Amino acid sequence: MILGAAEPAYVEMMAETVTAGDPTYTGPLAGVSLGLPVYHVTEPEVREITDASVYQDQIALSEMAMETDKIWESIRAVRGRSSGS
Amino acid sequence: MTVDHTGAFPTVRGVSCVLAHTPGLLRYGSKPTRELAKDDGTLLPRLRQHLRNFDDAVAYPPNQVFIGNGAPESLWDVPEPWWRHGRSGATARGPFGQIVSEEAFWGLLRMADDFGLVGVERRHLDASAALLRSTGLWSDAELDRVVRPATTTAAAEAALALYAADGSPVGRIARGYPDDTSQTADILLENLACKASGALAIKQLLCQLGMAATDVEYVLGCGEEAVGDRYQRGGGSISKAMAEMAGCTNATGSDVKAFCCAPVHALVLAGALVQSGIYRNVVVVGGGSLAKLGMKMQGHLSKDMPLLEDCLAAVAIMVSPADGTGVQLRLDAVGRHTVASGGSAGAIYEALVSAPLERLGLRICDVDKYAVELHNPEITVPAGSGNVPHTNYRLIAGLAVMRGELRREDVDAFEHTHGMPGFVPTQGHIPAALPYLAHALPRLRDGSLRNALFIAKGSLFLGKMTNMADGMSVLLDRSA
Repeated sequence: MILGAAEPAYVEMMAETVTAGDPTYTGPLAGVSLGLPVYHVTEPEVREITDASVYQDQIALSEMAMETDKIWESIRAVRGRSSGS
Repeated sequence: MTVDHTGAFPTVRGVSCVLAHTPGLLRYGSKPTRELAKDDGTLLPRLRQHLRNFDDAVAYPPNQVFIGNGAPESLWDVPEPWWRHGRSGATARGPFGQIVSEEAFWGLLRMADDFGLVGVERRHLDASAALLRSTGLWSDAELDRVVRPATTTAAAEAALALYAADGSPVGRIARGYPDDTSQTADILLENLACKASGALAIKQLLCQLGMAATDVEYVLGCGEEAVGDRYQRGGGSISKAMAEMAGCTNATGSDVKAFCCAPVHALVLAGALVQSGIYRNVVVVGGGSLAKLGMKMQGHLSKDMPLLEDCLAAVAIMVSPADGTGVQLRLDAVGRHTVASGGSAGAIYEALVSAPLERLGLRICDVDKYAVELHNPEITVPAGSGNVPHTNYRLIAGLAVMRGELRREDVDAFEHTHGMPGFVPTQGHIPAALPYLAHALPRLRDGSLRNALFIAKGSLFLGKMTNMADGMSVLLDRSA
């Protein structure tokens, strides 16, 4: 699962939703633990396997506007919890 | 009809920005309606506990900025949360407009209603007429419409009850044609709220300009309400209905639909209509969006903060031939997102920012101020929707870096030098750049601002007809 949202809190919520289950208990994934591997599109793991010109055209500018440090920290924390569970 | 043969660009003569504080109507926003329908009865009392009173809504710093009592940039210096730091001594009137209470708005709804749909208790109507009279905007004949008996009585069948903020009953609104899903009471309430607030904005604009309503020749609506019936849902034209309510008897009008992007489309079209000589005075008007009241309520409730989406917001803009002030709507610097533009942020911002500026030989940092989607971040951030203007300014700065026009280390400062904090209620099309026009106009006239680019984007994909977004921009500057 690859996420593209710009808001760290939102990224964390979406990542949580597709791993442990919907933390807000409002959607169909409430209590459903899918345990999917989840990454943000700006993370090095994704960037390494993306065509550089496509990344430049489609993602580069958005990445500049994002607080990638916080986004990566959030999503890595979710992955850490998910792999440890 | 007078054709301007000088070739000068049209100007913006004035802008009005009005708010109607409608906490009692908040429950009929789309989100509250849906949540209340599936609730066990505990939500409504919670909503009421989190409603603001009129004085708090007036004192709210972003609302003060909206009506012109202070510059948007003044919000940088207001401690957060802004709702805890209401401005002492704040008034409901400012140089760009005013904030009307819900008690006054009941009367505007009645005035907007030509079909006896809105029934409101007489004591509220009397209070409303007195409040509206004190604004100085409405004639006796117009105010008489508030209190006169309806020509037909609001049908009890399928009616929607209207309540004050404290839950006490105020009246009701009837449905339109029976069995018409485009004219249910809630839809008619949305449409009348849009009409009433839009007409208020036009009245306010004419008053500010000292201009006769009869001098308006065309009204372009840019709101998002679908006015129509079962055979033509969204047929329009709420603009002509607003023109009638505002007394613009020589005007006709039509609606421009492009989601939140419509206001800038409408501004450009208004400029073109004036530049062509077809009309002299064209009003662009966006009425308030009832559906968006309480839209982010869950985020606000979870943070135990007041429901800040309690105001209908409306804007009206007068576009006219050059008036000697030097302020010009640069119709040669219109940015448009075309079908072929592409959907990435880079493609969108190149189309809306660098392409129109290049036509004038300008670089990104040559524009003093960028007016983007100016959503109040205090409303959006607690709901996980981020700080919309902040993100927009980062994107424009990022584009400048990629074009070699800005150093990467200057990206953070760009927002402060070329941008502003969001100060506009999350009323869809209303935050789309144009409220800043009211602030920019006096500064363009006195020369403290050289130029400003107004940028709007629209989420066309929400309508399920296309996956595209839309975007439109236009530059205002002062002629040399």
